[in-house]
Amino acid sequence: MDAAGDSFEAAWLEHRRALWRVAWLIVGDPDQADDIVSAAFARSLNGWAEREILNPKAYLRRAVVNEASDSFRRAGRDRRWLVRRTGEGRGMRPVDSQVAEGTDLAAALRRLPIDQRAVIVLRFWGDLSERDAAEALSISVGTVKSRTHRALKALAADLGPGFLADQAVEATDG
Amino acid sequence: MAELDVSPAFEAALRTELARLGESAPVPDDAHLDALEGRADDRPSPGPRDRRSLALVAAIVLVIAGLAASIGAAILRSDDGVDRTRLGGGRGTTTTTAAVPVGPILPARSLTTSFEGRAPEGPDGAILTNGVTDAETLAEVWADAGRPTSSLPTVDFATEVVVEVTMDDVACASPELEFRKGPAAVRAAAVEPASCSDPSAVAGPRTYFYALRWSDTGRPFQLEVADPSDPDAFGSIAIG
Repeated sequence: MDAAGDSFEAAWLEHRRALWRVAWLIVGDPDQADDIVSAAFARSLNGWAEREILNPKAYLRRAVVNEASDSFRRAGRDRRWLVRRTGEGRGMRPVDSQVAEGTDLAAALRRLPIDQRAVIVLRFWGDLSERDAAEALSISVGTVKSRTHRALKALAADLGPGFLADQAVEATDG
Repeated sequence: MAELDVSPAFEAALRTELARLGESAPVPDDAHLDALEGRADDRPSPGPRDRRSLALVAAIVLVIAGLAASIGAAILRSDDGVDRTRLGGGRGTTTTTAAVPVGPILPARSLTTSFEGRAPEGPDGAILTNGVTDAETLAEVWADAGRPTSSLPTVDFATEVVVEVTMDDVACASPELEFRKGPAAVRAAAVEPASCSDPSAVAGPRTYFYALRWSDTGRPFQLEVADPSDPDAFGSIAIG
């Protein structure tokens, strides 16, 4: 293996668990996460040798997030096409919304559009700055801000005041 | 409706709960992850001959798509002389992906400050684009957009063309559009505001009116409008 291949393998091995976790948090389904990580591996491997990668972690994360978004975007575009042409499907959830079940938050995340879900995962789970999240999602910083704002409002409305109360109780118990 | 307050406490609780959710992720073991990489390795990598074939197929597809777009745009041209198209909405529209044309920024005369426009039909992400080539049509389009007749701009249509763009789902209310001249089209895209400190100010679709010089665009020309919600997608319309 050449030097580029070696550096890619080292970076991938170091970050692949975190990358899989990001994919799972966004899509919520282990099989889909597998597909996304596998595709991101191939895509980023091809790109690795073609340019100088200054931040391997950010580069790989971007590949995973883009792959997840692309798959949802394709599904969403098909759905929007139907809605525009026939009016059918208004208010329907896309079949791709399969975030892990088990908690109120997971269910609330599932009800967010994929773009908002991704920005929440990156900003509040991955602790990415607005600029880094923008880079990972290939969108502007302004779009990150607006999506974050909309997602937080939706989550707060969905989870209700009980979410904060539960957290306070657990903090006290802990 | 009252604005919902999202407090720092909520954000902190969200971080805590997301951390828990992340910890509960059923991360596969090394053997499984190795297998995923093997799946990727199993995909045939195109050799030089295959790449040439792929490039040929891609070129053919692009030519066909271009012809279809031109035919669609011609069909779309209505009797009032206005070209109308919608991103992603059928009716002869193209929604496609391509590299962003890198070219010089065209001088564009803003005819009005961008304003909150009427939402194009469709639930989200729709873009309405008009290419206006005469004064009478401009008056109709201007009124249709809710602009007062008293502010109708003067345009020399012998040398200029007017472009109206209404975009939904624009983040942080972009005050202006930027037009770039690519090899095959003029690409319009919203310019991100320098400051976006108040994302709650985002307010639905925004409408822009610009006058471009025929000498800069060429006549006829293809206008592409970048989808603000999808960096890889744009709508395309033939003008002139």
